[in-house]
This record gives sequence, structure tokens and C-alpha cells, in this order.
Amino acid sequence: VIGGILATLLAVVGAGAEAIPKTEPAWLVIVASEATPTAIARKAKMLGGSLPGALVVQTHDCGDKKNTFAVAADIATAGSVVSAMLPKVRETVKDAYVKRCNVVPRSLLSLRWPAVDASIADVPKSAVNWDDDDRVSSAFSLSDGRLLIVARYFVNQPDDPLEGRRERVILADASSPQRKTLENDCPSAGAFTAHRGRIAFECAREQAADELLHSVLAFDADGAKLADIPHCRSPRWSGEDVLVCGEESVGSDGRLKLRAKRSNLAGSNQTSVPKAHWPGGRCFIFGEPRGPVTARTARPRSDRAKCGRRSHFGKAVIGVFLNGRRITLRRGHKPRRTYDLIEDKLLNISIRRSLLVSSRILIVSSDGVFLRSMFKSRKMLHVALRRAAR
Amino acid sequence: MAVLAALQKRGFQAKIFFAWRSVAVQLEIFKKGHTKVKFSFHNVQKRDGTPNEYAADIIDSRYAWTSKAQSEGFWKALGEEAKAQKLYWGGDWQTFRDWAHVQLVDNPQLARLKNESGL
Repeated sequence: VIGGILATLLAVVGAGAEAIPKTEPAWLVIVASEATPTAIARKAKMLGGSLPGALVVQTHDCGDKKNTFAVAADIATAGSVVSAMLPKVRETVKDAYVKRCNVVPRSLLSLRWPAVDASIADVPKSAVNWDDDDRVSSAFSLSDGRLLIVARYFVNQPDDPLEGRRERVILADASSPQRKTLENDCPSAGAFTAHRGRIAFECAREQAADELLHSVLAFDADGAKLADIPHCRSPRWSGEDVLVCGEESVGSDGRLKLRAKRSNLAGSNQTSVPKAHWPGGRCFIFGEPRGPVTARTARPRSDRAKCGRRSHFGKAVIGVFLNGRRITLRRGHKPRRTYDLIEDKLLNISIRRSLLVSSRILIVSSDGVFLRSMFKSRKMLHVALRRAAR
Repeated sequence: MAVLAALQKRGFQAKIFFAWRSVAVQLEIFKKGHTKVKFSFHNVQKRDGTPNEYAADIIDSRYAWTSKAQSEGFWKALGEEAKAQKLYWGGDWQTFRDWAHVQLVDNPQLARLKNESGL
């Protein structure tokens, strides 16, 4: 088992490699293309009934310099598969064609998320303050490798001061199809920041003279809301539990004044413990490193509590310790090898701290929040690592 | 003016912060990311370009947009007096508040007014 894992990791990580995210090859069956998000949304709406599951994409996400919008009836990761799909799609759209695409990592297309929401087709032609930027969704990378989707959409509320413009903030993970909506209505969503699994960002909530006033929202690693701080902007994390933002105030001269506001979220900590049951073993969670993690500096510490009451791990433990660009493989307390890590590859599957028990892996974030258990066989682990390495 | 008088009668130091500005000025503010709209009821004009005020921002000069405007009851009073004059109040917009803002017509009229402004 150990040899196989080491061989796989050696193959996929590659000592000393540069952190260059690789593109994912894909073949798109295109049934419509347009220059504007409005036009493609309307085309997609027309085609929607006959091609359920079609996805609106933007060709920037294929690395194209010139951006256009398209409706992809199908997406395949192998050319042979798409060749089989094409005749069926042409029964509906005669001039459907295949576009080869190198999917940009961490793009909306990589998440299979529509670049233009279906509701955009319903924005009235008479709308005054809608721009193309309001019609196209976007993805933002967090420092911990997860992504936030800002899905821009339309709600039909005739008396709305924003003419139905809405932005939804969704937490996504490239390795998982699961999506978690953090905020349904967040105008001018921005200033995204993450720390130890927690996430904070700002939403514009009010107009005051010639200034926008914001709220800062904070969430735990599972996406549960920790705080909603009105009249604050530009959040940043300070220390373990403190969120700092600029408290906003507009005086009678119309000028904005900002004052640092500190919010302690310690009482809001939603840290959970692993719920998975791992029979017949012993649990290790590696201690917080000081400085770069190497085979010499990474020291495991046993912490049964954080592994959950019902967790029992086998004695043969390999710790796969991930931090920044270093990966250390251990068996028991003995460090085996340390490799440079191609950051994006492994961050893509959200591994920040891992325990590998026999052929099982338990992923725990740096603050002990259980993320997921998976790879219930060596084969599955290898498949996942290979996928991450692509 | 009736709204200002009523607010002053209630003990507030109400004043119009501003009523009209040109589309060019509005666009400058928009480009800075300080507003969500490129055209608003503050920008309505006649065909010849002369101002045609449809909205005003009213504050208490002691509180402006600070938290005191809420705690001292100014925003609530402004909403009450604006609606008494059949005006529309931005404090009622739950998705995006504009507490100081009052306007003559409701939001769906914006496209028509932009058209009538020759823009």
C-alpha cells in the first residue's frame, strides 16, 4: 500500500516542479454562440426545452483571447465520447459543432457553472442600469484553494431600485459537485478573504450621499454564517478569531469616514468533529507548524478528541501533511520523504491536512474542521490524486 | 418643501443634501464604484438639458448618515412625512436602502424619464 501511494505521489507531484495549474482538456458540443450575454441567454432559453442540461459558457474559460458566449449541449473530457454525442445533438440543432477547449482551472466552466444565468433572458429591454457585467457570473479563488461563485441573476420585482439585479455568493470546491449558497443577495460582492477555513466578504447594502455602505459577512468552513456586520467593508482576519473591517460613517459633508472595527468570532466557532467511523485504528492530527513544513519540522501529535469519539485508527499511519508547497509523507512518527508540492493540484481537492490510514484518508482542515472522508480504497485514492495532478 | 417644514416642526434640523446632478457627474461616481446606478431620479433633465428634479436626499444636519439618524428617529420621521406628501421613500427599499432619498414617482418610471430626458 505504502509503496503504491509513494509511487503515485512521486508520479503526480514531481519534485521541484513549478506551481502551474494545468488546463483540463474538454470537447464542447456547441449549439449556439453570441457576442453578448443577453443574446446568449435568450438563445439558451429558446433551446432549453429541447436540450435540457445545456450549459452557457464563455470562451475566456477555454483560454480564448476573444471572449464569446456559447451554449454547450454536452461537454466531454474525451474526443471519442463527443463524437458519439454530436449526431444526436444534430437531430435538434443541425449546425451543432464540436469545440476543443482547454478549460481554465478554477473557471466557471471548470465547475460546470453557467457563465450566464437563465434568468438573464428575462431582463426587460427597457432596463436602464443593467450592464453586461451585471449579466455574467464569475469565480474567485480563495487562498485555501476553494472558490466562490458570484452568480449574477435577475428577479422580476418591478419596484426594485436595482431593477432586479442580484448577486448570489456560492461556495464551491473543484473536487466536489457540492455547492453551498452563502448569500442570496449580495450587491457588489467583493473583498473575499479566507483564513483557516473561514470566509468573509462584503456586500453593498445602502446608499449614503455619494458612497456605498456595506455589510461584512463571515462564515465557518461549512458555510454556516458566523457574523453579519453592518456598515463595514474590506474584511481581513487577524489572529485566530478576530475579523477586522472598516466601519463606515458618512457625515453631513457627505464624506466617508472609516474606522477599524474588530469583531471576535470565537463564540461563533462552529468547528465540528469528524463524524466518520474508522474502525480498528489510532488517530493522528499533525500539529500546527511553525515555518515551512519539512520532514524535519513536521511533528505529529495525537489528538483523539478531534478525531471524534467513535474514531479508531490503525497503527500503520501515513500522514500526508500538506501546507503551502510542501508535502511530507510519514509512517508512524518517522518522516519518509518531503516533496515540493504543486500547490494548485492538491489544493484543488481541498486537502490541507490529511491522515492516511491504510488505504483510507481523512481530510481535516487546519482548524480541525472535518471536511470529508473519501478514498475508501487505494485505487480511489490513486484516481483522485491523478485527477488532481492533471 | 412641505416635507422639510414638517420635519422641522418635529424638531429635526432637516435639509436637502442634494437634489439634482448631471449624468456626467453621476457617471463619475459610478466609475468610482460609489453608486449602483448610472442614471437615477437625480439625473432627470428636460430635452434642452436643464435640470428637472425628481428626487432629493434629505438629512438632519446633526446626524447625516451616521447611526444617530436611525437612533434619533430621523429616518422614520422622514419616511412618514414623505409618504404624507405622496412621495416615494428609499428607506422602504429592503434590498438596497437609500434612507435619505425621496422621489416623486415610483421606480418603474425610470426608463420613461430617461427617455424623456433625451438620454
